[in-house]
Amino acid sequence: MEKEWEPKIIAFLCNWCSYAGADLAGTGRLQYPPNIRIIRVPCSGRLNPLYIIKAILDGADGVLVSGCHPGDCHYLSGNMYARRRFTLLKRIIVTAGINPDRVHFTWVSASEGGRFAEVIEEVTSKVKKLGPNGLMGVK
Amino acid sequence: MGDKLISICKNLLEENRVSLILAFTGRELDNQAVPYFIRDLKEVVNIKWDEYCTPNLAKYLLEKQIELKTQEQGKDKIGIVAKPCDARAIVMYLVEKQIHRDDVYIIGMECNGMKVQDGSLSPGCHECSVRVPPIYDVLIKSSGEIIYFDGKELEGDRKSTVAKVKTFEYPKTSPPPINKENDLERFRNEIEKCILCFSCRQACYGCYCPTCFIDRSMPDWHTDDLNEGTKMLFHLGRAMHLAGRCIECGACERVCPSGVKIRYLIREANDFCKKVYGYTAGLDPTQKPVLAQFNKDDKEIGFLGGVNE
Repeated sequence: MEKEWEPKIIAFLCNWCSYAGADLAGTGRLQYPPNIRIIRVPCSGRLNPLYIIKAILDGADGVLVSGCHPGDCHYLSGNMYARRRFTLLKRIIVTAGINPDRVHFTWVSASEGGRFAEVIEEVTSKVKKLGPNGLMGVK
Repeated sequence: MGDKLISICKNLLEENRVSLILAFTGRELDNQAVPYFIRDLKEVVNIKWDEYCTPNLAKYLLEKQIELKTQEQGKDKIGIVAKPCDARAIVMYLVEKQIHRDDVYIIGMECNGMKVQDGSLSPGCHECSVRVPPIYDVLIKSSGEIIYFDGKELEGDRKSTVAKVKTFEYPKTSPPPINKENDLERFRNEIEKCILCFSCRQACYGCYCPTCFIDRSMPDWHTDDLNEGTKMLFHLGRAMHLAGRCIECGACERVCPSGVKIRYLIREANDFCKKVYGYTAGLDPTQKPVLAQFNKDDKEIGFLGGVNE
């Protein structure tokens, strides 16, 4: 029986808040779609925007970047710089013609296990509606 | 303007206020000007100034500065003939702390647009609203009037120029709004012409990294042959590195041998910075770069559950 296409979503989670939130969702046995592949980074501010661009160009159907809430960064201001960087990156990606619903940014704190599950539900449903990443045929 | 320029350069060299001047000279073909580096008084007569002096001389400051600093006499001043876009590049070098203000003597020239070899306006000159350099030590206006910078913050032409740039809106026909994902075809068509010669990177004032990201092997951003994916990666990556730093000089489009119209991508990011962060590159040497600062009330446009939209 042919399996329905499932999107592959790369999730960059900051170690101190978002990854801990995901961990909490796990220990609380909350159900959420299994489509994400998590990459742990020390801080959302560490993330070179080229990683997101490369993920999309290499065929990822969606990318999610999640950090600490502004003001709560473990490294004080990393997520503040990341905020500016990612708004600009989204603008550039959209101008180049990539659907904005493929790339998502959000803030999830370490105690928001339930919210993390909701975020993954939302992102997966949005990406699923868009279909496979057509740019993959490029490489 | 040309003869006033020659007399000012002669003065500077005679009084030993600079040891090197970056200017333009002509060549055998008409409608062409090439960069000219003058160290000697008798070379000054060859200086030329007309509407074909299109290249941007600011990038030479970085390499010539190193050359002069290694000489026996220690640091020496460099004079540079600066159009408004060159002056904006120098302001950005000051913002990013690549040069000292005291190492440069800027001869500002008022500019009404420069032409390429076939007589048409250079890309970027058509919509440019910065006709007077935002920074100079001496300014030569189109009428021939010479103004020396007397230390006052912003006066006369410069104030109105800066005000005009800050409120300038690109015509509605150019960039499309952010919600329409309509431009994959446009992007793909432009990228198809690209041959990854990197002329745009060589010509841009802002691309001065000793090793460009696309040439690095740690991390290796492009691992395959030079195909469409690499081209997209290069142009998107370069747009991201120049977002908020582009001075809109049009050199990238002018030097492209394949005619790739790549400016619209970086222009989007620049417009965004102007509107949302109130930041225009290259006008104020005391600013911090736009991505090196933050505000706790920054807008989170496009974020999931974003506040301050």
